[in-house]
Amino acid sequence: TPQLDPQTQFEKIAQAIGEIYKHNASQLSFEELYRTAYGLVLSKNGPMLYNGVRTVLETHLRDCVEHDITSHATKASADPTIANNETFLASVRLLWSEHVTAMLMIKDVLMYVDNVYVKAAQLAPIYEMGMCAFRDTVLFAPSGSGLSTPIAKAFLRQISAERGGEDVDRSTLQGISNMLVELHDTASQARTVYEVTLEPQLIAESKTHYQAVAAVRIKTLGAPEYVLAAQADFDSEMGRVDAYLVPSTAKLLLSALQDELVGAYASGILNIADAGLTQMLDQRNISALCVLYNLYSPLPQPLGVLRSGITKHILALGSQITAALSSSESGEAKGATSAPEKAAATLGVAAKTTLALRWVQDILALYDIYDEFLLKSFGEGASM
Amino acid sequence: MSSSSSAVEQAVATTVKLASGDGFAFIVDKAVAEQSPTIKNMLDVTRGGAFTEALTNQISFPEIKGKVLEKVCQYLIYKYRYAAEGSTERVPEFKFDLELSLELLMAADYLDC
Repeated sequence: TPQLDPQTQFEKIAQAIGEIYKHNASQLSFEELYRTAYGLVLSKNGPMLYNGVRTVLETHLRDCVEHDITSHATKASADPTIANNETFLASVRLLWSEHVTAMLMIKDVLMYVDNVYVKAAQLAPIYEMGMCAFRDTVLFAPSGSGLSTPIAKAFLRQISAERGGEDVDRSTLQGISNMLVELHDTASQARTVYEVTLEPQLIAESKTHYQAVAAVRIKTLGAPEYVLAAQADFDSEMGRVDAYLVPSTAKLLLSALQDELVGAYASGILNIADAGLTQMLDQRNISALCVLYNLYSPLPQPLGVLRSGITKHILALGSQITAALSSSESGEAKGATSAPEKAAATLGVAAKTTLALRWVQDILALYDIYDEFLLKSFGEGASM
Repeated sequence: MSSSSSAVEQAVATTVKLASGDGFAFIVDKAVAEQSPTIKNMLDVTRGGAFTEALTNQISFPEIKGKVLEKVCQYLIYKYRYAAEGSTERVPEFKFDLELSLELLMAADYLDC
């Protein structure tokens, strides 16, 4: 059978790639394409084929960005409404998932290239090469038109809107996160693009946001309301991580929240005038104390502040009991001086015993109250 | 009549036709054919796009001769029969004519099996 020249053979594959992107694989013969690639590798045209395929992919992706994405990106940048961000991010996500589907097919057709040429030349396998092409053409184009920054901006704006109570499309955001996690950083292969670009910005912006939120709350809310609001924030942020972020972000985000909502105001919360720790203890606000404890206990310094605050209050209450009883004791004694001495002495002893009993009772009652706190609010935390 | 044609339909869905360049054709079970990763990929419909071969359940190998393809089919059945066993059963030798060696080797390389 007469052999076609390598360039013509390569054209077959280049054209097939185009058809695959257009969802026309059903019109193509896998065997013919596979055999063409096989022939090119055997005739020592592996490099031409590999580089040629990469060029085809890059050109295709660049065209798609220009036709389908750039207009949305510009709109989202100029007028960052929720809808515009959504349209932009959705268009990126669509290109990504189409690219993945196409690459799975392309890698199968070029399996001989992977098994024979790629291994020998120690290059990236076809699928990985396709992923890098996407990263370097769509996200980080050398011409500076890379979409990585606009994507991160739009993503963070959607989070901001959601924190403000608006509805955003979470599945699109999840698609974008998944995309960023599948692509690896050029500089350090072990880290993903998500880790290097989106995550740091996300954490930084979250810190700023909650710094401002806490500053307002500490002035306007009592301690119970503050801690309940803080707990609600913790829950909603963790929900956000589950819904459309990456698990590794949970720890970082939690730490940021702890710093801004709890750590920065550890004493401040307890000392809120007329609505601080002492009021919560005296009003036996068990549920609020429980929330407070849960927020403070993972953090050593705030926990110490809490513990010393409670200790101080217990000591104060204890002294009050002793003082009250010793003043009534002296009151009783005063009353006794008017009676006959013997009666006075007896009264004195009996009264003293009563007083002593009352003191013990009061102290025990105080102990019970705080034991209840220990049980119900502080989860029997040994450190308390 | 209708029951036998639906049985034929059923048989077609689980089998695949492998055609050689010189006009021979072999019908084997899909599970057997998929012992070759290359053929498996050709027939794959799960990855979001299927090629002609997967839709028609027929693969043509214009570069492979009938007697080579026949041996390949025998090998695929042999591999299917013994591959899953582990090493408990004594596996008989796979015999073939020496004259077939080179073409068989090339076909094996082509089909990755």
